[in-house]
Amino acid sequence: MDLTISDDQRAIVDSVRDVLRDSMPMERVRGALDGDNSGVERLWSQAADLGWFGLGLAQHYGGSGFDLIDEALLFKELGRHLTPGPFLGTLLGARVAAIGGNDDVAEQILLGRAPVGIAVPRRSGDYLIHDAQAATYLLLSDVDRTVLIPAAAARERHRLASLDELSVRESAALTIDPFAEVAESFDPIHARGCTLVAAVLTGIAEATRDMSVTHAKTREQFGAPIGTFQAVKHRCADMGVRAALADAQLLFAALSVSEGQPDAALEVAAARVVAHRAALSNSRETIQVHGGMGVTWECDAHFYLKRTHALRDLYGGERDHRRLLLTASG
Amino acid sequence: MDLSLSQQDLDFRANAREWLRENFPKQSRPNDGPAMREFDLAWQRRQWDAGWAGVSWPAEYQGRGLPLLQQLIWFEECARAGEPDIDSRFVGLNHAGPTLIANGTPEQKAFHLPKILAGELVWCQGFSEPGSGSDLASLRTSGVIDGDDLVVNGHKIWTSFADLASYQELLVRTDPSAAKHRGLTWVICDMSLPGITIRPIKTLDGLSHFCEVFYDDVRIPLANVVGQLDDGWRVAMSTLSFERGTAFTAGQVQLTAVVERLLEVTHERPGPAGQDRAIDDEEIAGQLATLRAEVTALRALTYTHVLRSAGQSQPGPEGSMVKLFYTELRQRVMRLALEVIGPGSGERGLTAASWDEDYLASYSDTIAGGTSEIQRNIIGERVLGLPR
Ligand SMILES: Cc1cc2nc3c(=O)[nH]c(=O)nc-3n(C[C@H](O)[C@H](O)[C@H](O)COP(=O)(O)OP(=O)(O)OC[C@H]3O[C@@H](n4cnc5c(N)ncnc54)[C@H](O)[C@@H]3O)c2cc1C
Repeated sequence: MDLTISDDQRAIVDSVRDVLRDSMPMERVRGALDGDNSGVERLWSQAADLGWFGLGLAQHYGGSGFDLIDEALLFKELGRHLTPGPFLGTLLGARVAAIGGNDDVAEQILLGRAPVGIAVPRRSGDYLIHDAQAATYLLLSDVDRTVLIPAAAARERHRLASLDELSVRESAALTIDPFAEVAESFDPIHARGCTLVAAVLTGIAEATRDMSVTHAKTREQFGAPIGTFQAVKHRCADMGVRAALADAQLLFAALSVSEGQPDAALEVAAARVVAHRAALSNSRETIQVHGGMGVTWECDAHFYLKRTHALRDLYGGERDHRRLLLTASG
Repeated sequence: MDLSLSQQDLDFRANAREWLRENFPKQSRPNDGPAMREFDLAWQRRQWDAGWAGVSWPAEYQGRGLPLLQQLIWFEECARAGEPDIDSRFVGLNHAGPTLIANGTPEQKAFHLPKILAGELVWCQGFSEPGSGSDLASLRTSGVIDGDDLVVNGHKIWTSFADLASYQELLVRTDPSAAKHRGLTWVICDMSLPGITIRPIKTLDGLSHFCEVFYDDVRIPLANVVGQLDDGWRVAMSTLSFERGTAFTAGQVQLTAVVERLLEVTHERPGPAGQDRAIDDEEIAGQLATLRAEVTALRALTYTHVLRSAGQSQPGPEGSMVKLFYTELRQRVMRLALEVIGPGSGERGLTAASWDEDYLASYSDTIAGGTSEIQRNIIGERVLGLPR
């Protein structure tokens, strides 16, 4: 057992951070809201050049041959930086196409030329589609199998209101006629998806903890930094514990999936639940720590809160995972 | 990074499990007094005789000298076997032992460490005083040098198992003129010395696990000072970070076992609103699922903390995160257990204690070893870097 971050992994994180800082700083994320997509497009082609979409895909499939844990480190940064774009669907879609035997499609996706959205069935019988706008393909995933279908199969598309202005969602009717399919027992795409959602949420929990700590050190009231007041300090301490817990569990989930450990399902469900709770509590509390500024559009806190809510049902909501937690063997 | 155990670790686990199957005490553990001490020490002695004591203690001090990971595996296997609480062995194995290893003289180590590992005696911790709990450094029990002795006068309180202990790690003020954190000394106190009076205190569960201890001109040889005179704060802090870091591993494993037991119980028993099974109660099911996620994550946090601090001589302040989360989680788990089993059932839980007793005992967790509020201060200031 080895739980230390390797030099290679540190290098991945550093490089992702550099790219995001340069190409997608918060001004550009906000720019995307005003319809300026230049940042998003530039980042997208950089991500393809850097092999992000095939980070954990074996080299013989055209990927970089790293592990799920390395993808989790990447997605944690995407969560931290509130990066918009169909990263999750595209990375998983490339995997499904490659493993499902559709090399040409896999190549197009890996090159960033064919973004992939994620379709989630709704009770009403139609589908909720995440990142629908520019998608060439759609991914549909459940605990038994994951399929890839052309985005053109979506009919009656309607843009849905989204609490998170940075993620575009549509409703649509779908005819499911997959051209690539991977059984969960062959390659656990669904478990990987859950883990990567947990990674994004963990990144959010860390970012909001850091925002709070920075503010608590600098903002002064009553002649002292507000971080000296225990009501604020203890709030920050709790944020720190939640983020550390989510991060440790993320590691266990990612490693147990790629190692095929017998308790992987439990580890993943735990990671998803703990990370969701951490992201939700931390983003809520960071608003409080920021005072009046916390409820302004200008403060980034609300974006984290909204992103957390937007991720609620992606790859199984907390309710599904809770059910799993009551049955999975440890 | 990987989670898989090496062949050596797997062999170690298999051997541990097999040995525990044969040797784990069959009788149930008395929950108080000298009978409990005898039970605990006999169990420790059995481990020592078979070479299982002090898995990660250095071999030069009669430990096995094995990696921390195998220590964790040992704790896990003990808990899986249903090990009674480490309780009366806690201070010796998790405080005094590690502190002596880090700070003791060769003579102190040679005399005390084997006795701790071999289960010859119980240790206790004399830090807290009536006027000095969270503000430990304000303590006033005095130690005055007289010839080759330190003459101690004062009053300690909340001293767990003082009435069962042979030795005590005692913190006294040796330089009253120095600043609060200076001028303290950590000394080994023989509990049979003249001038010591011990008065047990009854706790909310009706037991008496801690005591008041009065010192009236107690003469302790200066040779018993650990570290330097007036350097006791540093020595004490190395002990406390052990307590907050690795020392709760066994308890955490037990907590996971409790949650898994509750999962079984809720499938076997009726729910509070007359459901066939308690698990069909939405509130119980929801809480149990969250708790299972949390104990799973606690294990990940503990492993990450322990393995990453393996190279350091003492665990860092991150141990406070483990302590804080573990103790508050344990209270949530025991609260749900009481809800599911029903209060006052008197029914035996996983150990010899009843669910009621375990529930009541969980109230101590967030106070003993530094309250949750103090842990939050430490996390805020020393982990996150917030101003004091
Ligand atoms: C079961 C048990 C076993 C124990 N065993 C031992 C032992 O073997 N040896 C030993 O030496 N001690 C032992 N203790 C004592 C324990 O370490 C103290 O009880 C603890 O440190 C708190 O001190 P106190 O009881 O004086 O409470 P106080 O320090 O008076 O605290 C009272 C309340 O005020 C809060 N508070 C105090 N200061 C602050 C602050 N700065 N910021 C925010 N809140 C604050 C506390 O969190 C608490 O809620 C034991 C305690 C228990 C419950």
